[in-house]
Amino acid sequence: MSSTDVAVFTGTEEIERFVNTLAEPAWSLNVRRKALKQFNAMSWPTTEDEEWRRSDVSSYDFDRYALSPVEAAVPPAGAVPEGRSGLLRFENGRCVAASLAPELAEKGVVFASLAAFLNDETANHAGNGAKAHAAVQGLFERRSGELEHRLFAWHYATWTHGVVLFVPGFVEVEQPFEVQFHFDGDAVLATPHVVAVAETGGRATLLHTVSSGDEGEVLLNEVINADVADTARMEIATHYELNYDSSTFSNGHAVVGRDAAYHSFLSSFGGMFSKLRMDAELNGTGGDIDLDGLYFAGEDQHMDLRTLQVHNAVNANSRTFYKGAVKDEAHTVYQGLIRVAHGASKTDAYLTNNNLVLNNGARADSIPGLNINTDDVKCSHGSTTGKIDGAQLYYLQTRGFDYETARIMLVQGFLEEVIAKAPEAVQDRLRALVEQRILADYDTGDDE
Amino acid sequence: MKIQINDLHAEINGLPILKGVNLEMESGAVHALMGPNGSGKSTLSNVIFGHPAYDVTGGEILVDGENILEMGTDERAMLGLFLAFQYPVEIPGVTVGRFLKRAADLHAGEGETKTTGFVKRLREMMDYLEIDQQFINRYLNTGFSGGEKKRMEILQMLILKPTFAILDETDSGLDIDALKIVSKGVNKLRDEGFGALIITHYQRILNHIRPDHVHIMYQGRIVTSGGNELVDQLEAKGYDFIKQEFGIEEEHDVESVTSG
Ligand SMILES: Nc1ncnc2c1ncn2[C@@H]1O[C@H](COP(=O)(O)OP(=O)(O)OP(=O)(O)O)[C@@H](O)[C@H]1O
Ligand SMILES: [Mg+2]
Repeated sequence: MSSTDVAVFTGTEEIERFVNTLAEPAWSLNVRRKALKQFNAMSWPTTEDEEWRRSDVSSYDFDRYALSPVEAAVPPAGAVPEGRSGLLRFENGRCVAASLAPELAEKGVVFASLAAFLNDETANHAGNGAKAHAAVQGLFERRSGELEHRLFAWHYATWTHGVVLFVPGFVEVEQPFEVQFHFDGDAVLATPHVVAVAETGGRATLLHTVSSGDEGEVLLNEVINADVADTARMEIATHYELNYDSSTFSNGHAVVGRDAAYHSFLSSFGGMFSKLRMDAELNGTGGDIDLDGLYFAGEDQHMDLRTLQVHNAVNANSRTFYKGAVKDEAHTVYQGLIRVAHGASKTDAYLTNNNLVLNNGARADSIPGLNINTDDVKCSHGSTTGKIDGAQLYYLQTRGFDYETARIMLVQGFLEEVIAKAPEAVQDRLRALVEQRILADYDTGDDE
Repeated sequence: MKIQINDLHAEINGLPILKGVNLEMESGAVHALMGPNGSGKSTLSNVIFGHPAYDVTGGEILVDGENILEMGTDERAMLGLFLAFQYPVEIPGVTVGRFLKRAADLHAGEGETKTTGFVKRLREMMDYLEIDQQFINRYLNTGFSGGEKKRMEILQMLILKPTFAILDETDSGLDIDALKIVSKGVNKLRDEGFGALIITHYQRILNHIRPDHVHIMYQGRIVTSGGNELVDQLEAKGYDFIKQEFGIEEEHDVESVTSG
C-alpha cells in the first residue's frame, strides 16, 4: 500500500479487494477470508432474530459507509501521561499518540497498535513478543470461527486498526492503560478491534473510549476480546460517546480462567442507534465476573444493551449490574441472560437491571433471563423500571431543594450507584456527562 | 415565628383525615402533640409541608400572618420550617456529606457555605450526636438502622438550624442512650428563636425535653391542650379518659395506646 494515498472501500462489496491490499501475517488474512465467506453466506439481522427483535436495522444502507484502511506505520512515540501506564490514540484509524511505560515494556508488557504489532516481524519472533503474538492469533481464530451474525462477520473481515494489550504472567500493573478511538467525517465505517490478554496471575486495567466529532455519521462496528488466564485480573472500562448522527455496534467477549477475575464497565451515552453486547464466559473453577453498565439515552436515541454471563465451570461467581436513565423520546432496551452449563454446579450468579424513566414518551424495556442446566446453583435476576420516587422527591423538598434541583440529585444518585463501580480514573468524567445529559434540552426542531 | 392553624380540614383520596384542627404555636416554646394511632398527627405534619397526596379542603395555615397553603414544599422549608420524619426515606447514591452540603448551601443563601467551615461544623455536630464520621460517605439513610435514621434527622436539623421543627415520633425506636442524645440535640437549639412540635406516644422523651404546651389529637381534631399534667393523666388513664372527658363517639376502631 502506498504511504500517502488512502484507498477507500465502501460497504460490503469491496471487502475482498480491501483484504487483498493488506500485508498481514497469513493467519490474519485467513481469519479475514473465512469471515468474508461467512459474511457472504449471511444476511443482515432482522427483527425475527430474538436478539434484534427490538432493534431494527432494516433501514440501514450498509453500503453507504466507506472504510478508510490505515497503513501500519510505526506509531509516534510519546510521553506516558500522568496516572497511566500507557496511552494510544487513534484518529480515523491513524495512530497519533503511543506510549508505554518503559519499565513495563521491559517486563514484556505489550501495549501497541494492533496493525503495527502484527506487522512487526522482529517483535513477533522473540520472547514475550512471540507469546503475545500467539495469544492474539489464538483469540482471533477462536472468536472468529463461528460468527453469530453478519455484523460480526463484517467486522472480522474489515477491521482496520486496533489495540493489543498483553500482560505476561504475574506482572501486575497498577495504573490503567488507555486507548482512544476517535472518528471524524461523514459516512465513515469505523472498525477498531481490541484484544486484551492477561496471562496467569497478570493484572491490568484498560480504559477504552470511542468518540466522534460533533457532526457527521460514523458507523462503528467494534469487537473487544479479552482472555483472562488463571488467577489473572482484568478490568476493561468501555465508553461510547459518538454524536447523535452515528451508530454504535459493539461486541465484547471475555473468557475467564480458574480463580481469575474480570470486570467490564460499559458506559453508553452517544449514538442515534446503539447495539452493544458484553459477554463473559467462566471456564475455570472459582472464576469471578462483574459486568457493570451505565447508560443514559436522550432525544430520540435508541440504545440496546445485552449482557451474557456464561458459567461453564463449578464454583464460579458472576454479577451483572446495569443501570440506565432515559428521557425525551429515547428508547432503551436491556437484555440480560445468565446461562449455566450442565455440570457447572455451585454457580452463584445474579443480574440486576434498574431503569429510570424521566418523562412520558421515553421508554425502557428490560428483559432479564435465566437458562440453567444444572442443579445446586444460586441464580437470580431482578429488574425495575420506574419514575422518580415521589417520597424521595418530597423528602428533599422538605429540606429546601426546589423541584428541579431535587430531581437532578435523584437522577444522579440513581446512577451514582453504578458509577461508583467504575475505575476511579473515569468516575468524574461519567458524573459530568450524567449532569450534562440531565440538563440537556431536547429541541425536536433541528438537532445537531 | 408564629404558626396559626385555623379550622384545617384535609383529606387523602377523598377520605377526610383532618376535621378542623386549631393550633397556635410560636418559636420560643416547645409543644407536644399526642394522640392515638391514626388520629392524624403525621397527616398534620405533612399538610403543614404541602405533601402532594393530601388535599386541603378547608381552613388555613398562617406563618407570621401569611397563608402558606399555596406555597411549594421547598418554599415552606425555606421559611425556616423543618420536619423530622417518622419514617425517613432512603436515598441511594446520594451521600450524607453531599446532601448536607447542598442543603446547607441552599439555606445559607447567595454566599454559599465554605466547604472547610462546613466540614468542621458537620464533624462537630456528628460528634455531638455521637454519629460515626464514616456516615459522611454513606448513602443517605440507605441501610441505616431505625435509630440511625432518627439521629440523621436530628443531625440535619442541627445543620439547617430551623426556626420551627416538627419531630414526628423521633423518639420511637430509640434506645435510652439514643433518646438522650436526640433530646440533647433538640435542647441545643432551644432558645427564643426556636420552637418545636414534638409528636410522641411516650412520656419519656418529654422528661428530657420539657414541653411548654401539650395537645391531644383525636380523630382529626385537637381535643384538648394544656401543660405537662395532661401527659401524666394520659400515662395513668390512657386515651379512654380523653374520650369520656370530651364525650367523643367512636367513629371507627382506634387502637388505644396505654402506658408501657
Ligand atoms: N395514603 C393514605 N391512604 C389512605 N389512608 C391514609 C393514607 N395516609 C394516611 N391515611 C390514614 O389517615 C389516618 C391518619 O394517619 P396518620 O399517619 O396521620 O396518623 P398518626 O396520628 O400519625 O398515627 P401514628 O401514631 O400511628 O403514626 C389513618 O387512618 C391512616 O390510615
Ligand atoms: Mg404518625
